[in-house]
Amino acid sequence: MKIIACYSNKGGVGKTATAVNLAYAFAKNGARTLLCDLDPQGASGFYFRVKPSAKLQEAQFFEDVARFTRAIRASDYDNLDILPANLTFRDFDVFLSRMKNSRSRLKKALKSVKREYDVIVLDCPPNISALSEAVFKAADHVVVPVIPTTLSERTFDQLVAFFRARGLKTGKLAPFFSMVQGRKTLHCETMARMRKSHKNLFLGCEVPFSTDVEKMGVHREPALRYAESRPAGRAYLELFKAVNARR
Amino acid sequence: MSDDLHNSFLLEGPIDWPEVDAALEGLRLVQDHSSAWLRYRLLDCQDQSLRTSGRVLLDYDGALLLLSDSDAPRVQPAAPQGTFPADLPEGPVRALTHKMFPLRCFLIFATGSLQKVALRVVDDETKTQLRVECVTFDGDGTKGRLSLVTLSPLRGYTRAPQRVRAALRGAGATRGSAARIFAALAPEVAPYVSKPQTDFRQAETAFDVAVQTIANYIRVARENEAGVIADLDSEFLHDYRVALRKVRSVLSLFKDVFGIVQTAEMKAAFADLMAPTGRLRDLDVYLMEQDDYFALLPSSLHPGLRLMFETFAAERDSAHAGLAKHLKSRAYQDQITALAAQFDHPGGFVRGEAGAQPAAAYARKLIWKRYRRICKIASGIDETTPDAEVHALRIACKKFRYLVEFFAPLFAGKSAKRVIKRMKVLQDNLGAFNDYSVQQETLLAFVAQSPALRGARGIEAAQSIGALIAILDQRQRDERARVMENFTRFNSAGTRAHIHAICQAKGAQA
Repeated sequence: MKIIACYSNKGGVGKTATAVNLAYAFAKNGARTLLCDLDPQGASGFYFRVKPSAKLQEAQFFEDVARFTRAIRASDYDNLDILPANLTFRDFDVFLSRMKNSRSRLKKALKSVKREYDVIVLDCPPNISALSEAVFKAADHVVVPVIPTTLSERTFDQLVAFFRARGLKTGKLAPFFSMVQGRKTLHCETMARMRKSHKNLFLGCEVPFSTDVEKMGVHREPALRYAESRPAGRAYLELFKAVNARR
Repeated sequence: MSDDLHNSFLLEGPIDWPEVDAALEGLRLVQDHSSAWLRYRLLDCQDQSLRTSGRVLLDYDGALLLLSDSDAPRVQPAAPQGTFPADLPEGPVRALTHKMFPLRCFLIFATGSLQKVALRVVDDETKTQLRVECVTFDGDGTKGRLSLVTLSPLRGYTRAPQRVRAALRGAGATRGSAARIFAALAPEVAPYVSKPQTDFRQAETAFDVAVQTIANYIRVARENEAGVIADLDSEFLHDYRVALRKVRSVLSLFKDVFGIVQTAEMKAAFADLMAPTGRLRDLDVYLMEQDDYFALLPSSLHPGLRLMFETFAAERDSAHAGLAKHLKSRAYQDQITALAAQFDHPGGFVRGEAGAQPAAAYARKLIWKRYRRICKIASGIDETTPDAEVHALRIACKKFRYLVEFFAPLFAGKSAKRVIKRMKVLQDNLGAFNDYSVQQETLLAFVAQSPALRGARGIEAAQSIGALIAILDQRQRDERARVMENFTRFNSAGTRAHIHAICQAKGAQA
């Protein structure tokens, strides 16, 4: 089982759109996928029309495996389930450690409902905290959307510095350029500079700034559903292929 | 249809969807698409293996759909031509049916038209909470339509399926099952029973059991006539012969149940019925085992073997034509109809001395006697015994098994089945011993008599057959060497106690 975290320490970079389209692409390619909506401001669940469960706010939630598995909702697409949750750090930590531990009650519970997952995609809240540190430890890959602007460059450098300071493997980081506007000289220069300074770290794909992504809120579907052949859709497919190819 | 039939419902007539929708409280039903009316065929083989195992196979729109009481549906492309499981393209239906009945062909049990409609139950944000598929069948021979609704619940959504289930039940729908779908689509088709069990509530005496058993097996034989005539698959003839053989074994095993003269007459009559079927069955068996024969010999000897099989195939065609003509003949039809009538209305029989004995006591006595006979023959067998004794053991075992089968419902629980199961290895062993022996004789006769074996090709064929006989002889000896070991294993203290318990009643050891 692979845990893929979609993370950014800066808001408004297309993180939730990334999580939604990645999860959809994995499921469409046959992987049994669970998308966890962990960002209180995020809207993964919203994009899939899944209503947040009131039960998930309860403190004792993860103590009760049966209630956890009951909170999972099928999306409208094959192989793709959603956990529509706003979790506290404590819950989240327990959640990740149980997902990782093959003998955990959580895994057994998932198995018992014949839904052991091949891929878990986490839509994470945008900050560096004890919570995000737990994510970095548990995830196999940390997919980071980066808008090629000076400010984003700075926050990404901070993230890399944080990884190094805490002894986390920077190899887990899978950054890619998001909301790219090819006509802007600044974008092009920033991308060139960052690819150079973070050798081999950035994925090759670039997701363009696109109304197709913005329209996800209107369609309430992954952009890959209605714009697969358009630039944004193609870019998300490239992103999926790049993440799927990582070990 | 992503689930087994556990989540399906059947309703005679159409479903009133607006009524279902009205019962959903806060949720609503949307229809995604509906298919055109498509022709369908309900398929199974003669012994209805699919129906008996809780499955229904539908052929429509170029695809096969196999519904099951216990598994998810299997779908695969239909066969462009051919009627056997092996004729199907690779796929899950082929895999299952080829394993279940490799020798049987598919038969069409019902036809008609069907329409599929896909629906969803959604909430106020149009999130899907339940998928629903409704198939409406309009059978060619049936009155009115039949609706099969299958619910595919989605994880985390329990309200929608609960409400739809309740609404469907309210409309009169009942839980779907393979048996019920089959019965609804093919109401005229009775379940096929190859080993009919005697109803001992109706058969109090040995005479009653004999009459009922024979009547049942004449019925089985007759059910297979049409398939033999049409040459649908080899198993029609096989089942036809097995049924007649069972009739004959009742006549010979149930001593003194009928009058002596009548018994002799009936034995002769059924022997006459069976006689014209033997050669075709032999040829069927050879042709079915063709690949095995080729595998036994090196490829240098294959051309000779090919000549032999070409001759067999040609002979089979004429043997079948002859048998079909016989089965269709007035004389045969009159004779079997008369025999069937005689057993359906047994008032005209002369009863033998044992006829009035209570069935159970009679059964115990016969079974015990047959078992003793097996033990006696087996006790005389060692490495030096002539093959004829081993054949005698085979026949005694077969008769014993038939007896246990005939009377099985009389014995508590599965005790009869258990005895039969314990015999299986021994019987397979003896059967193989016999097959190898018969095959050698046939091959020798073929070499000696066939006009096909002339000239250079004839010599080639004779060489191949010679090599084959040598191999078969070795195999027969191998089987023979295992007989005593298998007998000892069968006749364990456990089996002895078991049979003793079955036969344990006053007079059984007489």
